[in-house]
Amino acid sequence: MKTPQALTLSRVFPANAFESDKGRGRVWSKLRRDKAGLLGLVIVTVFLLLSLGVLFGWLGQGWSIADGGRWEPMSVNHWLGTNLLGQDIFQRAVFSTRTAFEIGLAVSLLSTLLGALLGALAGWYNTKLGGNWVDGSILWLMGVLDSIPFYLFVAAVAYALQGWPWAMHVAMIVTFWTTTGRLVRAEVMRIKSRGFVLSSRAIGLPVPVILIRHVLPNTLHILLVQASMAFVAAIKTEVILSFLGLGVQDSVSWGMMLAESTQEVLAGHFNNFLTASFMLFILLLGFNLLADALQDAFDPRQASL
Amino acid sequence: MQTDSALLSVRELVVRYRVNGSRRELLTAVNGVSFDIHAGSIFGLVGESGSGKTSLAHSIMQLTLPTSGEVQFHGKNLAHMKGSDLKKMRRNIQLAFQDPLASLSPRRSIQQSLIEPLDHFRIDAPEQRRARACRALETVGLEADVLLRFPHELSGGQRQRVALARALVTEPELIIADESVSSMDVSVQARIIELILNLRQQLGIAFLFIAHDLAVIQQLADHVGVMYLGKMIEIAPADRLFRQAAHPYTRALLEAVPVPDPAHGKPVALQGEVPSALTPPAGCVFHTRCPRVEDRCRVLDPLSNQINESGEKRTSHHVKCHLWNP
Amino acid sequence: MSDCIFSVRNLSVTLQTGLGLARVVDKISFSLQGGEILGLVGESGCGKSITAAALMGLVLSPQGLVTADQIKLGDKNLTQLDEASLRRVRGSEISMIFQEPLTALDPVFSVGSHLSTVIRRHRGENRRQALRSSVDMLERVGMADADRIMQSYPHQLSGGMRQRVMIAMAMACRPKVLIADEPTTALDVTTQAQVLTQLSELGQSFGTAILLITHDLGVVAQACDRALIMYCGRIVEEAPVKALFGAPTHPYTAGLLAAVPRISTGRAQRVQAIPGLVPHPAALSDGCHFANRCQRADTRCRTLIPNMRSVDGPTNSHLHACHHPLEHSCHAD
Repeated sequence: MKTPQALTLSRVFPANAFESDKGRGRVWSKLRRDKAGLLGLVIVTVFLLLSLGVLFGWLGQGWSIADGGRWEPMSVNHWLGTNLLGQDIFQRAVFSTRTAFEIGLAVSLLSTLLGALLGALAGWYNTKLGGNWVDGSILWLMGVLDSIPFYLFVAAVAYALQGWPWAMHVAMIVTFWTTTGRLVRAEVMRIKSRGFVLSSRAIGLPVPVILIRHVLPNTLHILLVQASMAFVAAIKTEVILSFLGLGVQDSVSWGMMLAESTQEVLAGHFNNFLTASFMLFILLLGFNLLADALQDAFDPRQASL
Repeated sequence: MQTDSALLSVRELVVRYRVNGSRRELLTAVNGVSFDIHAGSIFGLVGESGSGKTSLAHSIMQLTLPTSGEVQFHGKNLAHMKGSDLKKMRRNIQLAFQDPLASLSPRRSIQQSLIEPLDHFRIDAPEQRRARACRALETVGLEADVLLRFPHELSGGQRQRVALARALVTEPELIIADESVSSMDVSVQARIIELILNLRQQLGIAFLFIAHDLAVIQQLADHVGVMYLGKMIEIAPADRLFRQAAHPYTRALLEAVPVPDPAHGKPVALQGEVPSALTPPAGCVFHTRCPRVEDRCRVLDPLSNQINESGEKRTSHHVKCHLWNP
Repeated sequence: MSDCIFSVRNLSVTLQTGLGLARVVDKISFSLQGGEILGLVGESGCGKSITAAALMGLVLSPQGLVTADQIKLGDKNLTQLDEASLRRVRGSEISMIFQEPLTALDPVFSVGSHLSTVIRRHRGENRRQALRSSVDMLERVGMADADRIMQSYPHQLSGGMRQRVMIAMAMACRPKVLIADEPTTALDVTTQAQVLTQLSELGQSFGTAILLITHDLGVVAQACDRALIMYCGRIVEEAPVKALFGAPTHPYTAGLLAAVPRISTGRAQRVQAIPGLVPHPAALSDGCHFANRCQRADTRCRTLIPNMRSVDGPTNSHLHACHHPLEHSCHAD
């Protein structure tokens, strides 16, 4: 029988049915109770500190110096040994943290921002009973971008912007925003018929103000999840692109280390491969844990009870 | 302002939506509705879901543009208003939703929600706006400490009051109160009714009160309009409507309201369902369910008849039904 | 009561809320006879819906704790059954309908497949028989063109028709007990009257006892035989509807009745609000929970929980839990 098995408590027992159901400082207090989320926060913080250290020139500055022999084992001078060219693997791995954060942050922030704005515009101008040219063109653009094979597109952008170090970033931002855009569009279509949006329209607030003040803050839970997913996806994509030779230039990244290590693994030297994989794995794990916890903590519907 | 002219007049208002985008299907949500609201009076608008009452409210606020007909505020057509006139009108007509969950922005504090219209209309000096927000809260019977709370921290009744306070804060002449279908507890409802009556008495605010519950309408309204499938089928002073409703639909509505008295007997159920607004019946829109249907009802759309002798417009009783056709 | 088919003794539900543990249902007891409609009335947050969920076994242990001395359905004591036997009982002997039927119907299945699945599962009929029984059930809930409805999908039906489909599904197996949680709250008044009539007719002819949960006293007066008034997790008054509306003895019941707007042909009688607010279930005081809103309350009310007592002597049909009940010179019975 199709009785609804999952009768959630919020359904039978609406939150806030009572005099006062306070939920103060809920984001932090919920996060603090989430052990996995805290672990994620610690991991991400450690990596962030590493990358800041690199940025300020305290760490990993010797990444390009080839002062060792080929494939040296672990030693006091070279903690994790050296690579094919005699460069220090530890230094390179640490320096790559900065590369990862640079790519992850740039891509996740800009693609989420782009997705939020275009998605919100599309959703806002979608009249529920018919299309509008704004919505139509944004949807068309998403459709076009989504239909190009991703790596082909990145390769095309990289070749078109030959030599420009941000080519890979641009390619990722241009393709990553569509998912966020679609989700935000759907959410905005839902939110815009709610009372508080109608009453701000009724007092005559301009559309950009309504979107930024009343509509987008209510898509925050989507944006947060999408940004964290874009962060992870950007780092992973960078690894693959670097592996294919389309990635970072004049720098080092875990992806480049993995690319180098293909020859080394064949010769029986695993240090480069293991180090880069380990760093990548731990950062992504930490980030995923944190993102899950943040999603729970930010969702306004889980505010109480 | 002359006392006898209406604050808000709606004339032959029609609202049509396009359905399914490119296809040429038209949904007529509001079909030739006319009525007046006078300063300081409460106009109750009743109708079942899908009768077009919310579309009517939205088109009065110009949130959806009327397809034809006009809405006049102090005798001026809203559709032609621009610039400062428009802003003044928007300050003087406010929307209040009674759906407690949807009416307040969940991520903004009550203070932010209350001060926003003051900022927008540049009412008072910026530092005095908080005090005005406090006064609005006091008017609806809430303490000032509510200002720093968020909507989810309030009870349903408190949220309802805050929604009213937000509508009040600009000191409007007319509040359009769109009731949600969702249930409100009677004890909360009783207090909101009390509050609205006080606001009207003390501040002289007029209300367009939209509801599905005739019993609530009787508590509040001076005039009542009954909508069915986009048409205003009856409009009358409240005491007259409840004493001698003329339209068979209004009578059915009155009979269907469950009376909290077991001795009253079971209400007479109206047969059938409301037809789709996409394909409204020909002739009188109510003929598919009407217990007193005649042949002409199926083909001829009845005109609006005034059925009392009153010469004054404010107390006249209009009905759209062939039974009252001479 | 001899022909009692459903009886609940001392049902309590404790939930984890934002302010700590709260006993949202506090030792409530009632019983139902076949064919009878018992109203469970209260304002939002009084625990009426959680009572329904607890009776259906839908409150799960990490969220809430349900205890009861006895939940007896026919000759089975539900508190002693394991999950597998409970699943068999649910849907066939006790079933439930909800406020918003759209959420309870799966959009990808037609009405016919919803109904026939239930019938095949619980009545063990084959496909053909089940389809025929489904059409029959739809006709019994007043759907004129049952064959067309069978082919329809939930979103193609209006709210009233969906609720009737839900009733047909819930009643298909002729359950002993039907729990109806605000079944007409989302419907228009003209539809509400139809649905309530069909519900009570069906209950009568199948001998099903109906627990009708509602906040609307009008619905209670119209549809119920007896009613329980619930406040803050406790039952404060139990009475046949005639006595309840004619001679309410608990001040809360009287307050509720005074707050309901009634249509009158003359001047409207002004509704009266109950002063104060419903307290949070995690911050309840000792004694009578209504004491801080009650004009008749004294120190005894604030310290001592009033027990259920009979108003009408040995017939035991009208009970209340109040230290200072309202007196009525001529009692309705």
